[in-house]
Amino acid sequence: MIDSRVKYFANKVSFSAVFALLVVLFVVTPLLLILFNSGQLSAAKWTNLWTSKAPELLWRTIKLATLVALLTTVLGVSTAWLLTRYRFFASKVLVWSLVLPLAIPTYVYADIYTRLFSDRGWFSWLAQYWQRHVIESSLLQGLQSLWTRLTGDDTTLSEFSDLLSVSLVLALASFPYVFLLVRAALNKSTKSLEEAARLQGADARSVFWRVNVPLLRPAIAAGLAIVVLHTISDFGAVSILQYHTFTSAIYLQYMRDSFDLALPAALSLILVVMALSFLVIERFFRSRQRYFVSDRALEPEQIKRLRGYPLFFAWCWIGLIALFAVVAPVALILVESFQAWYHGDVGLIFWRYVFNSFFIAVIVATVALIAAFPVAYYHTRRNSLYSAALMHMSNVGFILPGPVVAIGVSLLALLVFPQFSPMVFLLTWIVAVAVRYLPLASQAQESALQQVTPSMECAGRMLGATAWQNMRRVILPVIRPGLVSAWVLVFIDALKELPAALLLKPQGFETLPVIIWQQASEEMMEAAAPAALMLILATFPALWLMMKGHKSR
Amino acid sequence: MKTSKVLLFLLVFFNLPVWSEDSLVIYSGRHEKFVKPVMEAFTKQTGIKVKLLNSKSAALINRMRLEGKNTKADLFISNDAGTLQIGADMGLFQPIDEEIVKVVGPKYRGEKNSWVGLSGRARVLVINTKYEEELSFIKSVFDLANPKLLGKLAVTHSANSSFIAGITVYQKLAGDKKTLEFLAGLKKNSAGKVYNKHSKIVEDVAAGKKIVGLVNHYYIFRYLKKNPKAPIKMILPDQGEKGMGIAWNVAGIAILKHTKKLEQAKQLVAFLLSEKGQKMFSILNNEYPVRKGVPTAKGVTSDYKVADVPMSVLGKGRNKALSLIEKVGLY
Repeated sequence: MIDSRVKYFANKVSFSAVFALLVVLFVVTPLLLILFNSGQLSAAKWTNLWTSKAPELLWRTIKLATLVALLTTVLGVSTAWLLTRYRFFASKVLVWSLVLPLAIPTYVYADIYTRLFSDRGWFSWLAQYWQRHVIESSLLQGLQSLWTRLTGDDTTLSEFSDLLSVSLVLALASFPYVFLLVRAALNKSTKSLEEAARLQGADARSVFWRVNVPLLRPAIAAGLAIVVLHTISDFGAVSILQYHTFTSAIYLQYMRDSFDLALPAALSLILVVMALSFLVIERFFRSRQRYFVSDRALEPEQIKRLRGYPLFFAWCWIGLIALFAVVAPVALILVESFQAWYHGDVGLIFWRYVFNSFFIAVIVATVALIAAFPVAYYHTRRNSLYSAALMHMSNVGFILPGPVVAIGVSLLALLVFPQFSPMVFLLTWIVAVAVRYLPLASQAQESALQQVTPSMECAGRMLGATAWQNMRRVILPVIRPGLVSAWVLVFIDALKELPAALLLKPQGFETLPVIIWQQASEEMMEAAAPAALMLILATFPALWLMMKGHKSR
Repeated sequence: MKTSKVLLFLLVFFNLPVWSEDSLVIYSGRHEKFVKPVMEAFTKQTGIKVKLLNSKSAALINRMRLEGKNTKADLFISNDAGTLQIGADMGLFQPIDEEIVKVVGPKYRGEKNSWVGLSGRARVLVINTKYEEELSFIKSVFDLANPKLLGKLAVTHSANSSFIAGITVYQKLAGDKKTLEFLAGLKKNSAGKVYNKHSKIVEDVAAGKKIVGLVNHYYIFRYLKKNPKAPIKMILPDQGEKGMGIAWNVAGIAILKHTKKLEQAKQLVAFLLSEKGQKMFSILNNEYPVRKGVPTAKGVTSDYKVADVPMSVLGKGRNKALSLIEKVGLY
């Protein structure tokens, strides 16, 4: 009995092992091809790259990531603190509105912000004020000289002002990651530790710095890790705002040298190494941190009510953030969508774009879900060093920015197909996006599969089910919620994917992100606002899933 | 099974019109706004339907190369002679009859008539008139490298084909050393900000965020048409006896080697080179007609010295220019 059980699992595992290996090999090949292609670059060109463009782009990217991290910390921690520790009117609505930016792709933010602050935009007065007064002011100059002293970075004033504004936009778009994680941590930490500290005679400030901050540090770090990775791999927003980082420079290089892939490949390689080392550092620090929080939620009587000036300022602060992060962008999209609809610009052609986007996203989500399953299954069953390695390698899309994945996969396609038809482009595109978002699928499935114990499978087999029946009637029903959320997560991200679409979509097969991109880089495209609206609406299910997860945790 | 059939049907339903068989397919790297009306006029005159597929020129070249003889494209339109010549060197195009293209000077055609220019564009400077005095030292495009312009100069990123074409011309006429110095100066003066589009350069110069920019001439006219009172002005560099002249580029068209509709394709080229076609194609965008004797749009002058470089050189010299750009590390 025992023997056959072991044998049964050994067979099954080896079956999924083969598939897992195949998937991982397939996913890693694009990266290897990039490695190979960058090897084609002559030593002289490598040296040149190292002395001119690469360090500069690295520095620009690091600067941006640092500033965005700083700003998101300020925005995320302050709002999370206020909303967990104090009672507000309609606080649920406030929480939702502060999470909403996650539904808006960063390139939509960038596009909206350039229009809000353009000559005819709603905030043109603010832009003019900035241009006339702030940019020459001693405040900005002081900040700049402080920055120069801290970092040794010698920027001109206008460059510094550009950097600040780009960081602000990216921070407004991504601070909810920090907000959510810090809020969850704050919700779980009882005030008993604070009260103990107060009893020992600590004042409010030292309680904050010596009790709260250390407790929140893991949550902040986890949030910042996401924010920094997003900033490094962001393509659309930095391109539209014309602050070029490593990722957008790779795209430009590809557009310029599209007849010779060695240079873009070399740049990609450097970026991959950079993202990897960031992840390693982050893991290292996180592994030494421990969460010491109790499971009890805050007692209602511990949530205080603010009065007088503090209440006023708290409202101003949250209101200001909500205005710039949510209200103004969403209002602009709604107004422009209405205008577009009113002028009859939302015609059949628009619905074709919508269909195209959904079509691709559905296929990509399904492909990613199926491809990730053997990897996740093998890892949860075996849990060996080898299976963990496979799991990690399947996550390669996580550290590869969109343009890099697209270039890698098209290198692979070039090996397979001597000549491209529109179908081949479609295929290459789907594979690229699926590779990019495979980690979302495999991680969600892994955690779902952990709920299926081997004994459950054995029970099924003992009752006479075949391996396939077992899979269909025991495993799949148990992990279905996990599968659904994995599918939704991939679907949403695939729907918003921009760089691979720009590089690989078949001629004439426009999608919503591409329309928005064209609006931002060319002149008016009437369908851009409704396109953004569709993307935001489609993201709601994912947001809802995420919020539900936060609540139940 | 059934779902997949439904999906297939939907895909076909939504995308079939793109591939209807009886029309000429043009891969176009030029803005749809400036191509579509001309094509409509062509269809009206000849009854031949035209399907436009718009993208970036370089991406389209790459695509046609990948598609090989499977390509659906019959013709290729690009805003950059360099890109056209590269396509010709890859063997993507077929020569166009001398009879059709002889109305255009040889300078504005590819080698062996592998492509033909349709409209000319000039690399000029746009300045904010408030700073005219301050900028009066600029006589040549090379003066843009002057340290006085630190943080005040607007240029596009170096993946822009007009930018590359301009650098190719400067390299041919002024040599490697001077061009390298020039590029290094551009990089310094643009202070970390490079523009995606020429139109944004003109906008920022008008708003005073930058005071001088290097652009194609028609962007200035386009902006002034929308904002007649904008404080901007076109400056023509490198004039006078010793000046090298202004770098030109042409938008042009080529016929694909693998087209199955050669006759219709030729008809289209002939139409675009006719007086009527020339007027429409160039005047819509304030460009210069390449056919002699066709007037420019009102207010657009072509009365200046043009750099003496044949357009096919923009393709032949492109790699050299790119290597200089790469050496300086522009992005």
